[in-house]
Amino acid sequence: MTAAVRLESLRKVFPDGTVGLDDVSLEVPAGQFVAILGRSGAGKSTLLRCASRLVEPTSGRSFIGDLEVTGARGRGLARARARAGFVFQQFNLIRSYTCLENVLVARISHNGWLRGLIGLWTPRDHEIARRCLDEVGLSAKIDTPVRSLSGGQQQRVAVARAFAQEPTALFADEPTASLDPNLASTVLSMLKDYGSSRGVPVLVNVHTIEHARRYADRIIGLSAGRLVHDGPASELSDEAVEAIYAAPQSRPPEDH
Amino acid sequence: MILRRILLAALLTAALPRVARAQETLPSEIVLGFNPAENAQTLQRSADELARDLSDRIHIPVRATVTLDYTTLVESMRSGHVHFGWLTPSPLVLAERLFGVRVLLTQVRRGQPTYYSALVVREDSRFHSLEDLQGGSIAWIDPTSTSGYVIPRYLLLQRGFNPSTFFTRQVFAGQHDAAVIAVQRGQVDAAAVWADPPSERTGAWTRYLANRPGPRLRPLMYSPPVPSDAIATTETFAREHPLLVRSVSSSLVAIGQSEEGRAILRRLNSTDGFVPSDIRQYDLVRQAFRATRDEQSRARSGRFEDPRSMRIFGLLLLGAALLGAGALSRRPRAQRWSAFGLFALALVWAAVAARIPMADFIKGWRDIGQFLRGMFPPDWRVVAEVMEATVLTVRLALVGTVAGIPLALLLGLLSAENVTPSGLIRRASRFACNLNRSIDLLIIGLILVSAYGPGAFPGVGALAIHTVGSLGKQFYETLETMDPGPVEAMRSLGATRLQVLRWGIWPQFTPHFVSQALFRFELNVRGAVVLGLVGAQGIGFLLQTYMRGAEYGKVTVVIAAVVILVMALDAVSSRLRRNTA
Ligand SMILES: Nc1ncnc2c1ncn2[C@@H]1O[C@H](COP(=O)(O)OP(=O)(O)OP(=O)(O)O)[C@@H](O)[C@H]1O
Ligand SMILES: [Mg+2]
Repeated sequence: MTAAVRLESLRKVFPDGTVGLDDVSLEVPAGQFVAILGRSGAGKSTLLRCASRLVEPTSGRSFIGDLEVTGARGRGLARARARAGFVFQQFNLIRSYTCLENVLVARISHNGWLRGLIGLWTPRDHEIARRCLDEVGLSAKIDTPVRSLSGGQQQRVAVARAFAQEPTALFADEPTASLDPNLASTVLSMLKDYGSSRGVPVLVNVHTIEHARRYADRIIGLSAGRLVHDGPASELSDEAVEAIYAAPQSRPPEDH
Repeated sequence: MILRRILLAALLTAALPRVARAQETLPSEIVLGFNPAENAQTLQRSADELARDLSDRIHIPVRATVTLDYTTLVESMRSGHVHFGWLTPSPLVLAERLFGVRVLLTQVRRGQPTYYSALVVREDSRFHSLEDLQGGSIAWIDPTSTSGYVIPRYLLLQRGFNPSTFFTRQVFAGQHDAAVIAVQRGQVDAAAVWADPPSERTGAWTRYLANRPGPRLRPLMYSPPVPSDAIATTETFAREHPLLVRSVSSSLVAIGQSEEGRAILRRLNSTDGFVPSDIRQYDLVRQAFRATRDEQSRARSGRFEDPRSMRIFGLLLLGAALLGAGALSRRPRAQRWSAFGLFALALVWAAVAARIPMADFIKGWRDIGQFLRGMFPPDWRVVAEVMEATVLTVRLALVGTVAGIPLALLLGLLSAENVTPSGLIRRASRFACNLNRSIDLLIIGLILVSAYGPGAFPGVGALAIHTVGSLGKQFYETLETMDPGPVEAMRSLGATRLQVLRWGIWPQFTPHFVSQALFRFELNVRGAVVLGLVGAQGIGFLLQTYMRGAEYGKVTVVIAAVVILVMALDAVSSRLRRNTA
């Protein structure tokens, strides 16, 4: 079985010389829930963004399903990106639009270009959008503008949007950082249920180890852009956690 | 006979200084005022020569001054800065109405103390009688022009036509050459200009088009003979200085009869000399002046009494008052109101100051006082006319703004870093915005007025062009402050560049877009008012017309309208903006 997400030696050096990601390789099978841990600045966001090419990796390759995301151009790139659903810490919703409209735009890659441009969604799109909003428990808020929702509700709309995209892989970059612990659990379990029920791999950046232990099948650790830990969630030892969160040792010179 | 006159004149002038000093307190110098003409420089030189010649004859220092326009000359006579004025007929009649004048002499040209006014059309046009012109367009010169406005309008009235409805479009060309050129280019069907005697079939259209290729013009209708320019003084001055006035009068006649004197006069508007005259010679002009003025006022007041326009005006006033009252309740709003008051004052000041030579600035304050006194009571008869012009101004601003928005939006999008990835395109389009912005609205207006002639189009065009640059810049600056979050979300959903723009940026931008476009419209209304001063149609043009005609009571109405308009707009647009935000 081919892995649903496969990263090969992904590397990202920012224009200012910062190494965001240093030679990371990773394979995630379908339906697996992966939590990514790391200090602030370890490269967690960069990893997810490079994998879906919201940020251009400097080198390396990224596959979602059998499609290579790196190397795609133009429309192909848009199509490749459409395979990865993305949930952002700041929700990134269209605040003046209703919940339904926000979820409908997720159907953009399933429609022709012009339909997507002018928002001429099909009845099927509407059906899917409503179902996804129902799945996150927001059927009652369908026609409410997003800006008048609470933070937790907004993040659920964002989750519904990612679902409605019908992605091959699901990435979430600290989806719980601006939510209280109860809501955080709700959102994480929604992501997990979605992944396991549809066989979609889910990669989530979290900063609470407790959550990682509770929901993840597998935990990976990043430090200074490098993969420093990879193992089943049940086997995550306190020492491993300490290692992941330890201050990175000054890196050896490149040409040793 | 000539000899006798010269002798008389010489006797008088010789006797004057002693006699005069015995009975009259003579001014330390006397000032001759001249209307501006095509070339102010050479006019000033010739006027100085005439003043010197006159001074030699009457033994009192004489100074010549060339004013910026008719109204300044008339006002300078009223305030006593100018003692003797060389006046064309309409300003003469205006002066008579304002403060009473004594006409001394009439100018002789081509052997006659008269000239003519003619309506001219293109040689190849279908207009062969006055009736043919019905429904057409005409270029007048300006509202104080005798041959280019007052007389021909009077003739139309006498034939039973109301000029305001007879023509579908009327413009003021400002100068006779501009008027005939407008006809030659086909911008208007006809023009009213000065003419030589009808038998010669020459006039402004042969003089100014002599060296211009293109279609010829022909006269369609001639006026009766119109008296030429007058040398006049104020009634007061004539009463206080009878001998001096008589002496100046006879000296000027004598100058026209001397060899060198004649040479000087030739350079002053081709004058051959002067003949003694009085105000009765100008009866035709007086009637015409009265008729055209009254015709306007009657037409306006008649319309104003129409119950519907009364009601509309009442509603407008009420609406403005309500909106204004609502707006007043907030503190920063009150500050803005005072800014509008200042704006209105600045407009008055600008209009007045523009007519006063800087050297006379201090003295001019007295004239401003006079102007302010003249503003009351307001002449409410023009309310309908002012309302019409106000509506036209708003329409110009609206069309100009709407016409400019698409290009402004395009430039805004092409300049914004988060929309257009190509740095080269961004820089080029920013450059276009800034280049456009660096040319002032008024300058664009002036250029367009000189290219297309006065009218509505240059106003709309100038506003549209100005809108592109200023709004374009505002747009891209705002676009770049848009939250990148939704953009990133749309990219992750697989949206193409245009789709990202549509869903990631546009919804965020809409309220800014609406409020900035509204605000630009508000600014453009004010711009349209000012554009009226350079010849675009609308309320500013009306303001200028009234100012030139020294109809200060009407000016009050215009200013009131501008103030109400601007305040109402502010109230409406700030409410709309609050709703979209
Ligand atoms: N656009 C950028 N330009 C330059 N450096 C960047 C850029 N984006 C991220 N970095 C740097 O790359 C490194 C990894 O950043 P990243 O955002 O992936 O960290 P993170 O693990 O997500 O941290 P956090 O938990 O704070 O979100 C950091 O040192 C960061 O400063
Ligand atoms: Mg991050």
